[in-house]
Parts: sequence; structure tokens; C-alpha cells
Amino acid sequence: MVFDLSSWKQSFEIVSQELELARRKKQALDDLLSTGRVSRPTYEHLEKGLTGTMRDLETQLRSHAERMTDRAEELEKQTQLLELLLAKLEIHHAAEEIDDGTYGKQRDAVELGLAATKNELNQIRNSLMKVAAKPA
Amino acid sequence: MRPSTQKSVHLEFENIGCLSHIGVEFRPGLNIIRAPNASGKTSLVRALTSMFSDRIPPGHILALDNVQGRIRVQYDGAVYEKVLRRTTNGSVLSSGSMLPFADHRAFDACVALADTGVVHKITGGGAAFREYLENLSYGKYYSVVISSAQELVDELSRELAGPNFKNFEALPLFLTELTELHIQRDQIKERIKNLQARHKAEVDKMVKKADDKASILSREETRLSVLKNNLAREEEKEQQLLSFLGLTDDSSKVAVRLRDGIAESKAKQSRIGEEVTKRTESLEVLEKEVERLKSEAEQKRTGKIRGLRSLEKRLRRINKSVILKEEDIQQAEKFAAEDPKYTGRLVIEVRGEILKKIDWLNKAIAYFQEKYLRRMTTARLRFNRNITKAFEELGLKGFETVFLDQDFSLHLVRENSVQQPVETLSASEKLTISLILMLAAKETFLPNFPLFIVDELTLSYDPERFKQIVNYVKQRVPYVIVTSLTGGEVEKPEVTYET
Repeated sequence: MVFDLSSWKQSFEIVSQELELARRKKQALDDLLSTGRVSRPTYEHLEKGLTGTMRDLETQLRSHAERMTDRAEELEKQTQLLELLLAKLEIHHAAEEIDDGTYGKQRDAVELGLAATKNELNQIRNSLMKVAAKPA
Repeated sequence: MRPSTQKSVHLEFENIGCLSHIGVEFRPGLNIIRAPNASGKTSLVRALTSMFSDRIPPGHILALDNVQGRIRVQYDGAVYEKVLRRTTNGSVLSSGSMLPFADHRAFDACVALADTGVVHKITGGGAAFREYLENLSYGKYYSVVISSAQELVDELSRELAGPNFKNFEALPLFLTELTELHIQRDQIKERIKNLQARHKAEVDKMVKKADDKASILSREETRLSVLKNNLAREEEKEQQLLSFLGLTDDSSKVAVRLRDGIAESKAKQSRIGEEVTKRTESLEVLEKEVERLKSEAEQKRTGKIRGLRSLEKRLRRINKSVILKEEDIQQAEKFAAEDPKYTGRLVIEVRGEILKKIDWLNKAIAYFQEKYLRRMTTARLRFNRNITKAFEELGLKGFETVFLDQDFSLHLVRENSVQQPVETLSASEKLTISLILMLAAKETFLPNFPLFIVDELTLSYDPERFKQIVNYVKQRVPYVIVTSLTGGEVEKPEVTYET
């Protein structure tokens, strides 16, 4: 699966903002009804459209969250794999099966990959926490 | 309707066109009305046509210099009569009975007048021919229903595009604008709250600073008071020592000790005095400082909060906008009280009613369109079959096929498979094709109609082709009536017969 970090973040934020705006609209509409500024039939007509929009946005957001969860699981596996690789590298080095130069290069590469993976994983987890924190 | 026994048809006309009175007889077979130009052939044909179709206006039949005319037809043992009367305003009215096989479609399918013939229709393109077949197949009724329903849909749609409905359609936009105003209002309220909290914190900080200084001042005052007490006690002590010194001998050891005591007390008084002076000065400074801090704190507390005024101004402006937007929404959802049609009614209700009507009309349109299409397709296919049959039977050379396509455009395909536009046909070919199409129309839609009338057919044909065409027509129609131009001394039209 091709997963562009900046694009999912951007679309996730856009969907979140749109959903927030839709919720505010619903609140404004409820206020209009409670203050008698709109009649019940007009309220129901507008509310129907808004509810549909909110449902669509929530579905989109859920779909994002699912994709992000899948990606997080993938990254967790990747992290474990990289950590295993790093441990093996340490063992080979301790057993003097590889020289210092090779060990240094390989360790740097694995550590770089591990840091990038963990960074992406943290970003996804933070976003997922935001989704979970928002009221449905 | 085919006559029960094929007998003669007797016609009698009074004051028709240029004819004051004439009686003619049509027999089964070919009837040729012969007369020179402007001697009443077309008038006769028109008058006869008016007995089975109302497509010729009575004003075109009645003699111009007469107020009353009469057409009498004896057919199949019965008499059918029509009277034409000119009213005082010049219009002509007709009354009476029509022939039993009268059918308004016969004018299109069975009468080829020189000025209104089918030639015009086939050269008029697909739309004209579609209309021709619509009339003959009654597809026109569906077409009229469809166009009327469509007109109603258009009218209702135009109504829905009116300002009230447009405003209603803008309600989601108004709601978005209102929400944005709410968001702005909340943001400003939050900023005001933060500004006030920050200001209060600053005031509290200043008050605390003043209080801290005041408490230092209070401590200093206590200390000064203690010092002053100490000074007073030392002065009292000095007085006591002085009084004791006056009672003692100057050279005594007691006097020496008393003098030392007095000197010590004076020194102490001097030290305390200096300290008191110093502290008093410092206390004055402190008092001023406390006073200043308190004043500053009070000034801060009661003073204007920087930026607050402009925020409050913006808040007032937004609140005003919120009210106006809410009013917009209120206005958009209702028709005005002075609206002549929907006085004070809710737009959503009226809109719902109109949309329901449009939906119903669209369903009706779809239903009738299907019916129309079916009828027109059937008509076209039957029509094409009859054209093919006519070409085969007539043995006309030069054309491979003639047919109407789905768009009702006439296609003429020559023997070499080359399509020829109708407009490029010769005059006689145009007339032949027109007559064949007309006969195909008659056979398709009016197979039992007993008459077939062709005005001035002989003008365009050589005798052989004329005979070929007429024979073909004769086989299909009991009474074929053809006008023919003759020279000579004939005053009134005469009918000759060929069985």
C-alpha cells in the first residue's frame, strides 16, 4: 500500500475541519429552532442535509482511521524487525564476525530506519488519539 | 369504411368557389375532372374534401360574392348535406353532416392538393415528416400531452427559480455564514476572556506588590516605634541618672559611675536617634511607595484594558451580523405576508408541493413518451413496409430502397446504393415518391378510406407513367378522383370515367 504521510495528514485534517464545521452548523441550526427563528419543517429539511454530510465525513474519517491503524500495525512489525536486525548485528559484532567499519555502517542505517519508523508511528498514534477523543 | 356496394357518389354544389351550381357523379374507379384553368376544379375538390375533413376552412370554399352555399353528397343510399353561411362580420360558418367515413387524417393521407400536398412534407425534412406521421398515427395526441406536461414542468421550474425559492435554496449557505459568525463570535469572546483574565492577573500582581510593600511598611513602623520607645526609655534613664548625680558627691565613685552611665546613655540616645531619623526617612519613602503602588494597582484595575475596546466593538458588530443573518434565514424560509400567491406560507411546504407536481408530471411524460415512441416506431415500420411493397408492385426503376430512419428522415437510395437528397429529385420523381408515400400512409393508417384525390396530377407525367400510377392507385382505392387541365370550350368541370 502506498502511504504518503503528508497527504493523509492533510486530508485527515481537512476532513476533521469539515466535520467540525458541520457539527457547528448543526449546533447553529438547533439554536435557530430553539429560539423560534426557523420552523420545524425547514429545520428538518436542513438537518437532513447536514446529517447526511456529517455521516459521509464520519465515514471518511473512519476510513482514514482504519487505514492509519493498518499502517500503524505494519510499522510496529517493521520496528520489531529492525530491532531484531539491530540485536543480530550487535551479536555478530560481539562475536567479532563483522569488523567495526561494517558494523558501524549497518548500525547507522538500521538506527536511521528505526527512528524514521518510530517517528511515523508516533504521528499516526497521535492522530488516532485525536480521532478517538472527538465526540461521535 | 368501404361502401357496402360500390355505387356512384353524387355531388351537388351551390355557390362553391367560382361555381354557382354543379352536379357531378363519381363512379368506382378513376374519375378525371377535366376543365381549363380557373374553372372550378380545385373548388370542387375542396368542397368534396370538406365533407370528410375539417382541414379546409369554410371561407376557402364558399363563393366570395355569396352569403350562402351548399354541398350535398349522395353516398351509399343516404344524403349528406353541408350549408355554408357568411356572417355579417365576413366569416363563414358551416353546419350539417359529414360523410360517414369522415376522418380528419384523410386530408393528409388521401388528398394531394397542389398547394398543400405531401411533396411539401417530404421536402420539409425529418421534423415535418415526423409531424405528418404524428397526425396520422395519433402520436400527436401523446406528443401534445408530452409537450403540455413539459410546458407545465418548465413553468413550475421557472416558479422554483423565483427569488423566494432561490433564497430558500441559499439557506444552507446562510447557515454556513451564520456558523462562521458564531465561530468568530466565540473566538472574540475567548480573546476577551483571556484579555480580562490577563488584566486581572496583572492587577492582582500589582495589588500583591502593594500589599507586600505595605506589610514591609507596617513592620518598619513597628520597628521605628520600638526604637522610639527605646529612645524614650534612654532619655528617662538619663534623667534618673542626672537626678541621682545631683544627690551624690561629685568626687565619689558613684558620681563617676553615674556620669559614665549618663555619657553611655547619651551615646546610646544619639545612636538610637540617628537610627530613628534614618528609619523615619526610609519609612516616608516606603509610605510613598506603598501609596504609589496602591494607586497604580487601582488605576490598573479601573483603567481600560488595552485592545479590549476594539474587541468589544468587533463583538457588537458580529452580534449585529448574527441578528441580521438570522433575519435573512427567517425571511428565506417564508413567503412575505403580502405575497399574492403564497401569503406567509413556508417555502419548504410550497416547494414540496411543486416538486411533487414536477415529479408526477415527469412520470407522466416518461409514460407518454414510451407510448409515443412505441406508436411512432410501429407507425414508421408499417409505413416503411408499405413503401417497399408499393415500390415492388409499381416496379419503379431507379431506386433500390426508400425508407424513413429513426429520426423520420426520408432516405432515397438509388440502385447504385448512392443516397440521394430529396431536394435533388426531379419534379416528376418528387411527385411519384410523394404519391407513393401518401398511399403508404393511407394503407397504413386509413386502409378502408374509399377516396383518393389528386389535384393536377397529369401536369407532371407522361401518359404512360400517369397510367402506371393511376392503375396502382385504382387497385387500392374504390374512388380515385384526379383533376386534369384541358383546353377548349368547357365552361364547367366535367367528369370522365375509367373503370
